[in-house]
Amino acid sequence: MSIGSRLESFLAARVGRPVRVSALSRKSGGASRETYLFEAEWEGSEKRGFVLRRDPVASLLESDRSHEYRVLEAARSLGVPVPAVRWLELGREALDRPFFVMERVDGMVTPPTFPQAYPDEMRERCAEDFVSILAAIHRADWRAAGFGFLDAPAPGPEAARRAVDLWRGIFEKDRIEPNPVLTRAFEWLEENLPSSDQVTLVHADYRSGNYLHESDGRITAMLDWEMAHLGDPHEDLGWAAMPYWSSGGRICGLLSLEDFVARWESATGLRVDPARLRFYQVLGTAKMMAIALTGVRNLCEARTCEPTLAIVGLLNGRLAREVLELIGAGTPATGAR
Amino acid sequence: MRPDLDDVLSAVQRLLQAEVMPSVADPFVAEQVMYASLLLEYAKKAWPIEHQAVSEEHRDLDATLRALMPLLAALPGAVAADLLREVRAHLSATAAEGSASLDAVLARDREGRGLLDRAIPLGRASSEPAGADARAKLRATVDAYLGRAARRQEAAIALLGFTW
Repeated sequence: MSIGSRLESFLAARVGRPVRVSALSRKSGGASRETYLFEAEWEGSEKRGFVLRRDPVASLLESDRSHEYRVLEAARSLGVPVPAVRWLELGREALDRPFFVMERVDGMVTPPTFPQAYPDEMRERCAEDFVSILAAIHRADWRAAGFGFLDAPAPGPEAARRAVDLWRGIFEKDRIEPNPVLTRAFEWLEENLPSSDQVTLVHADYRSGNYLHESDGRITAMLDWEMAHLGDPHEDLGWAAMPYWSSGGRICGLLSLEDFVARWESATGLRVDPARLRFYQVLGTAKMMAIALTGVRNLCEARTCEPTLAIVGLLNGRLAREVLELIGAGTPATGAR
Repeated sequence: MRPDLDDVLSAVQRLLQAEVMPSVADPFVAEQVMYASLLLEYAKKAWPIEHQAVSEEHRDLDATLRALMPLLAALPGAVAADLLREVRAHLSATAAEGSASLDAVLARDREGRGLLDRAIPLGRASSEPAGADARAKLRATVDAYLGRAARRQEAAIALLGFTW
């Protein structure tokens, strides 16, 4: 039975009447979930667009199934634009692997950096929303907003410690050969753990490529919340400001780092600590390398044949140079033989 | 001898572009075929210079491990002493191998990078005065190698012609 027919059966059981699914298509990207777009209609409801996010056989990132669903549910109460989630299925009977369905939001996707060729007015509007949505996430009273199911780190170095332990653990589990650059990066992170008394909601994958926007640049939905947690807001700032996502001197292809920091400080009333920002740029770069290594392992051990995993794995060479530059190691000035 | 690797990869690439791609209706699958073709193009460009890249990495790794030996010897403790023994054994085995197969060289280099990996924590700053100079030099030596290796990798991925 096709995935469309099986989806019809699943939805029919949920809405209590026959459902017709059409225009089902798999979307590329979404390296940690299989993403399908489809339309569905049933008696008493007009045809509407939905998105199915299903666990892949193997992915760049292995994350908890229900976590993203619960985070998305709670994120709507913050007033930030996120898709409305509709159904979560953790069993394997319906579609072989766990999945959830959310309502489709109109908008364009960008690559991981906002294209330089797009009009300046569009970029400016996108940049404005990019910062204001991030500020809303960081300003949120996460307890009142229903994020109490997330585990809050204690003030001090715990948020940084948790993040380093998480990504070092994934690196050590998934590497299939020694990777001294990442070992060195994690060594630097261990030596430079910052303290923080700010505990906020952290999106943890906040960058271009993970939002939808209108042709005027207005962001219609912030996506990919699967890694969201409570931690230091600098984690989102450092991730967005990684050299890997930058182009044309603009973070995420949107705005200068100085502008990003100034707007975020103004919108949150918080101050950016440059040392913590750098720490989380290093962590973000190491995290991206670890994520890529998970994909490489899945590819090399034949759990998947997706060519994008090979491409992302090859791009680790660029991340290696960037992380060494960030920690001031092995640059031509210090490393020439 | 023809067909050489370039001929073979080019034929597969043409097959994907001329025969497979036009018959694919699903945009997701079409995109995967496009990426597969991109990787074939990368393989075509990378393979002719792969031996140079492997050889350069091998020589650099060898020289770096040799440079680490006196530094490991100057460090106190059993961890440094054990690692020094393994580095010495690795370098002796590498020298004894002579003109080994590509697979053997790659395996040997993976082992060498594993030794380097284990040397990294030994460069950690410490309040212990014994070996302070060796620790600092060890870290600088490892960092210098990592920088050169990263630049080599980045030069190789430029052949991919894909980034954002």
